[in-house]
Amino acid sequence: MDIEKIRNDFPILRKGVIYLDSAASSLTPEPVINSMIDFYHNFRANVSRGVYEFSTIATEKYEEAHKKVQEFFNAKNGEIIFTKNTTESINIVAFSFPFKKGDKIITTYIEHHSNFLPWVKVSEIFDLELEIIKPDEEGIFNLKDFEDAIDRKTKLIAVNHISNVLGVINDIEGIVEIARKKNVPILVDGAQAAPHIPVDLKSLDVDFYAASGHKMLGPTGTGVLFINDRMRDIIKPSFLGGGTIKDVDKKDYKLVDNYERFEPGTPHIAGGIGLGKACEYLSKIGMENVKNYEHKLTERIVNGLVERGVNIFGPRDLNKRIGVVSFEIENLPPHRVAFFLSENFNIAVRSGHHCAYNILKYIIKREQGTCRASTYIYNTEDEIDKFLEAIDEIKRMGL
Amino acid sequence: MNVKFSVKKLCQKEGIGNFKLTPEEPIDINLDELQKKPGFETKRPIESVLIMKKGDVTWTISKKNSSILIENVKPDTPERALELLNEIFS
Repeated sequence: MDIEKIRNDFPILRKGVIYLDSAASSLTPEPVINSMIDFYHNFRANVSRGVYEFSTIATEKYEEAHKKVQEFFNAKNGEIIFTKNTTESINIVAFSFPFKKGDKIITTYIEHHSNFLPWVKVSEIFDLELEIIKPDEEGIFNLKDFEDAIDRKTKLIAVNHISNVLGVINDIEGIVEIARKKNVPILVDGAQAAPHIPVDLKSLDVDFYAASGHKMLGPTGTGVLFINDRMRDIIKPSFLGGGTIKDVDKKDYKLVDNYERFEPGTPHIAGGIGLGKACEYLSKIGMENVKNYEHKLTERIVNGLVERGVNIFGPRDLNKRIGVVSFEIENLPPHRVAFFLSENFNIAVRSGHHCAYNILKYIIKREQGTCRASTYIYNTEDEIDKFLEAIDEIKRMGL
Repeated sequence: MNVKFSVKKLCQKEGIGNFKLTPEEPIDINLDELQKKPGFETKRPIESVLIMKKGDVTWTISKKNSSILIENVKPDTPERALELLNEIFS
């Protein structure tokens, strides 16, 4: 991987910021931005609507974008739906799944609110049982807990691939194996996984997979929902409108067969095209290369913090985590540390609860929140060293 | 102080606010003067940053961008954050 070449694609970095908040949202490279400008400059029109040239080109580019994302995830034609983010993707499933009173959903204590609140809400609406599985303090699950939790009422398992607070890579293959054995569909929140490790949905064999385009170099307002072919007719879209049907009568309609049934109305065309380009960009680098490069950064950041006596959360075993590193410096409030890093060192980290209250309350027991540094392909070892030097300085001064 | 500040609520628990306040036009905050203000416990970790404490509330003032972090704002409203800002500049 040629990091300097990659960094040149991110002109925002020339402002001198050390951006360690990619778990919240990644930066966007020039080819992605240019693909969207190209749409607005050269073929700005609606998709699937017009016979004129601009509309035809826009439609082709939008469909091509689906194809690129589909290839990135190794999904089949029609299984990839464009959404605005992971949250919307999961809500689509939550509110389209045919739950009935008394059904059970299994989720965990280490979910982002996007993969927790929708299940709480549908449980309220449909009077469902919600069982929450607890991992150990590093975020590692005992798979037997999933096996024990599944009963004849269980209709869905919803779990993340990688935690946005602990950075822990869950044993999704193991959980899927249990789910398949017991014939229970599984939804995986891949918001933190898709940008950083190879995700092969054919091999993973999940029923639903959600990801955020804006965390994987794509534009803000873009996300992905994978619906396995086998679930396509089980999940009924909650929202209908233009583009979703192939026939309508006075009191009836027939849905189209492909992804369009879940993308009612005019989509975020420029965003979709940008997301396709982002997937192409990452594919050219190679996700194994991304994973291996980030592993080096993670090693540097985790070991560096631990050597300095900084408390980190999530697994110490580097093979069980990615470069999403929550930490606390003695008893310093997280917002103050983040403010200080920003104002004095031009280092951007996240502070607070990371939209995951249950982890902070029940797993790491830090209700005041934590700081979180997260890496991506444009970060360098030199940047990590500067971050660690800044931590030294904060520790020396106290705040 | 006559300058308007934009007030941004940060991630927080219900009822206890953390706010970042940034002036809408550049200002020069005299940290030395502020540090002399009675009734506050103060700390100067570096020349360009002043931390002021009173009760549960902490103000962290950075000279560089004239940004101010106010922690433990109760009630957690922007109006209360602005009142607390005025408290140090009055």
